[in-house]
Amino acid sequence: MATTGSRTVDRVFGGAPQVSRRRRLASLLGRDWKVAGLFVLPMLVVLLGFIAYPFLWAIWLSLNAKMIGGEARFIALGNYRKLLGDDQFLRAATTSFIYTFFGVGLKFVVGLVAALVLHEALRPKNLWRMLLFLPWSIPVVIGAYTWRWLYDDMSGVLSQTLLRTGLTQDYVFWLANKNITLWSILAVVAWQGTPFYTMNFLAGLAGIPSELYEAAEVDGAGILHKFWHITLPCLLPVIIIVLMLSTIWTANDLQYVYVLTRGGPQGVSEIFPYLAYKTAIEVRNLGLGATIPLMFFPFLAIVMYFLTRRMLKED
Amino acid sequence: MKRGNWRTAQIIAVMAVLLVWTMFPFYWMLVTSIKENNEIYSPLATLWPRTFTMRHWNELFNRTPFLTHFRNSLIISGSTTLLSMAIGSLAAYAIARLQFRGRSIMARSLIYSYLVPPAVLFIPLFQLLGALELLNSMQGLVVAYLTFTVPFCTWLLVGYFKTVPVELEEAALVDGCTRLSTLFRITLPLSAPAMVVVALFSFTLSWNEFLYALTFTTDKNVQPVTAGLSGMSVEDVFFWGRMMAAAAVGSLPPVILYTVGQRYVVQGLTLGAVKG
Repeated sequence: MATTGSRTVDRVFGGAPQVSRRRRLASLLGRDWKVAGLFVLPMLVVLLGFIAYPFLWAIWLSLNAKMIGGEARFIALGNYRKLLGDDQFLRAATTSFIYTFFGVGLKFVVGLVAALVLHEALRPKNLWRMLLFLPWSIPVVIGAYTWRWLYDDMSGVLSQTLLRTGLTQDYVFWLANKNITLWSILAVVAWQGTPFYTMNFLAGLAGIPSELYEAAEVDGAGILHKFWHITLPCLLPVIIIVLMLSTIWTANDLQYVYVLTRGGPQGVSEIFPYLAYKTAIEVRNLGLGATIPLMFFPFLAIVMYFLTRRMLKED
Repeated sequence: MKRGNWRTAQIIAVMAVLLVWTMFPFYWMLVTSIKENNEIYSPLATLWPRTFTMRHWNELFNRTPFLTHFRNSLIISGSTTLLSMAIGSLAAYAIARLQFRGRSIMARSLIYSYLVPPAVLFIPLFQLLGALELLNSMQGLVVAYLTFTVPFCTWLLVGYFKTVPVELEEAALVDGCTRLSTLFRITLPLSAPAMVVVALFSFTLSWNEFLYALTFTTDKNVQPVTAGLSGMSVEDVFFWGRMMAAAAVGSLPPVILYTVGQRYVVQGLTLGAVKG
């Protein structure tokens, strides 16, 4: 309003040329563009310089053959083609999907159960909530090392307890037995990741108006009926956001695999972020390493698109 | 009445299972750190130590660089927190209050930036920090950590600043305050709860970070706790007593912060998308 008014004044009185130029700039960039520019500058440096630029640089790297310390050589889609014909990569891709699917699935189920129980739990509720949150609050590597000790085959408490109670005839090689390695890792993923689900579901449950349940009870609805027709639908927006965020984080997290197995035994627990780390840092092949996570970017982009839409709508 | 009791029993049973599953690793971490080695590696694990010892704790503090790592973690996480609060509140104020072109694109790109996973960024960042001669330095890690704390802080603060009544700021502006002093004198004090969330998460997310720390630092004098931990095993031999003592101390800062700030946690978990 004010801008239009002063512009009219300019036109009438033929204001000084610099002033009108400033005005035109202001109408083009917005009233407060100068202060705003100053205020957002540091953030833009981080966003553009250390996120957008590295991201584009990763794409450029993926089009090059480049070792640490060596010259880059443009090879177009060479890295991508190489990966698609590489058994190790294809196995890591499959493992990653299984890992992410069951990791997210386990955390969802346990988190939902925990939230439902905690919602009705006896006092002191805050204490239970605080205790159940603990695994999420500590560094993932520390959680993983602690479990690596629990999983120790001979001295580990889990293996020994099973042996002593007669549930197994021999030590259990949690991380060295190909058939169970991935599941042992997923148990740790669930142990540490579940509180994120529990806390969000709990917040969602607190937001469901109790009148809904009271009305259903008047109609004689049972527990299951109430769960399916009230709890789940009301919780759905929370569930969707939590699942999407967690899928991105679970799929891209190499820490459990790095600490527990380094991808072993014989590569059965090699997931793509770990393969990327190994290729880029240990084998020193930056070009190929950068290509590996980018192969999964289409999946990531889809989740990001829906998640962003949802979060902006919430606003 | 009978049904109610049955229901309560079920709830208690499930809670008990969940609590044991959640807490047992912590118990085992602590109890391992005060057992003698022959007890730790005996074929018969003991639930309660036969003999107590402070040996592993002594070794941890006196014979390993753990205290240096701990100090580094404090410096890195503290600096990241202060910087991201400063950068975040300035930018958030502009996005929430000022009129300029590109505002909505900026808001959107904050979420995108927050979601770009470290697995994609760590290789180019490794090269970029190398070019800036910031590898193997705490400054380098702070820069790397800003990539997840700044989008997070800014986004959360934008949402909160919008709820601060604009009339108060207008009054200050009329009285001749600059935008900057309005931000510091009016908006920030009124946004204290959001600043707590932002500080809590910036600090703990930085404290817990591993991939960047592992990739960008190898020097013991600059490594934080998370990266230093993997250097505590010799080849594949672990000194579990010492390791578990380190695990306990390394967990302490985030555990304390999350416990004290428990009521702020839910707002930070999902960028405020889930209302607590």
